[in-house]
Amino acid sequence: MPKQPKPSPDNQPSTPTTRSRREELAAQHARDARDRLIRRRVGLALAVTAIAVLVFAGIWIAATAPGRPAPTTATTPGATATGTDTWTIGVGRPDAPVRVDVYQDFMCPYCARFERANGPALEELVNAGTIRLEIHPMSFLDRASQGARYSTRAANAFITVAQADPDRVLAFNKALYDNQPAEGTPGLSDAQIATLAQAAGISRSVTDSFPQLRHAQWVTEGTQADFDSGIQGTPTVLIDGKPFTGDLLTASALQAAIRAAAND
Amino acid sequence: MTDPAMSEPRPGHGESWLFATMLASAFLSLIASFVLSVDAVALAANPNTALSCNINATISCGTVATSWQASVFGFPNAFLGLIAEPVVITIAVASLAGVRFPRGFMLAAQTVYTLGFAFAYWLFYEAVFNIGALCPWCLLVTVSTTGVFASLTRHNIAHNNLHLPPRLNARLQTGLRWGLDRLIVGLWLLALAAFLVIRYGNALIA
Repeated sequence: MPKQPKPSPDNQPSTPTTRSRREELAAQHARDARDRLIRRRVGLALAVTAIAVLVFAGIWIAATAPGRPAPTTATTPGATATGTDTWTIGVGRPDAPVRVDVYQDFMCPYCARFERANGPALEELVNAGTIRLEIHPMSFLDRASQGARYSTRAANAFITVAQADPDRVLAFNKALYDNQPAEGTPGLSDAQIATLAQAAGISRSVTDSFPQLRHAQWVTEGTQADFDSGIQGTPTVLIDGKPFTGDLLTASALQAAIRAAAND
Repeated sequence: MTDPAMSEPRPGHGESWLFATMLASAFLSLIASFVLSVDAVALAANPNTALSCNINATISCGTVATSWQASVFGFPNAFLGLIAEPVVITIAVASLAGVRFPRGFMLAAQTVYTLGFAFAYWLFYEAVFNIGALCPWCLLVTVSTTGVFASLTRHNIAHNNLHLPPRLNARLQTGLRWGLDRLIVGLWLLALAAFLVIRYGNALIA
């Protein structure tokens, strides 16, 4: 490694006697020897740290490896496998009489209006055991966040919460729409999404993993599967598998259709 | 070479190492800037261009390249690398051949490169905390810019080019003799690596 050329300080005595010159050289040698020793120790410390960090990194990566992105089978217990069932977050009793599918993108303004109009009613119907709500988070509006992939990041956070804290997933869904960024902006940062989640009562240990985007692949594949199954845009609502064609932006129309389906 | 009386030597063994490091870092940075520039042009022509480095949601230069932070001054940042790094390469090659640049010249180089260095880390910060994606070529720019900055700073402290107070500069020179610069740069890069691993973990390779 580089050996430092000695600086040539201007304040050195210019005409030393032979004797003091010799002493000075000896002192210089002693300093050089000490510098070399320190230098070697510093190098050794660096090498040891480097090895420790690399070992730690290897262990960390191995320890956090989730394997293949796992579809949310855990949150859809008892759901029968049809169509895009793999790519959905289920809320409510699996054996509820009516199944309501909502296809949504967290960047989509109409989805936010849909949530404002129907979110409370849907939550009530879930709690009453009338419906099984299946939310399909999609990410095709990634193109509307200046490359920041807001849709994917929000959907990833949503899935993370659904798996770790399923009781709060609807509250988090509402929070994401209440604070929806405008299309064409980079959207909320991961930290802002985490703050929203924490405000909804979700613990830090859950929100800390948002930036790892463990479910990004899930979202991408799910979005593709949703499109493949014939979904053309968001919000799209199915009641017992049949598209709801009424007004999505008022609460009463959807509730009436759900009640009709429940009484069938 | 170790004779303190020789004040203007041809680059000695240590200096050769330093400028070789500078040359290699600047060269890597230039390559990365070139790739990023080509990508930026390709993306401008067709926003849906599939870039080879779009590996997954975390490692995605397309995501980074289409962010506003990627062209802060109205043109792709990478163009700045195309402009600046050849100058560094010239300085490094000339110095390896024995040229010693005047103090004022090196001070100017240090000033400009320090701005570039700060800019590189600002971009790194934005990529991690606001864009939410990493791009491999941008990381190469971050690391190689650090290499150029460290070697340039080291040279300028060793040759007292920065107009620092004499006592401060003498202390810094002692630090250089002890290899503290290596230690700082090494620990810094290790900390960066550890940070990325902890924050993104498996997402880096999955």
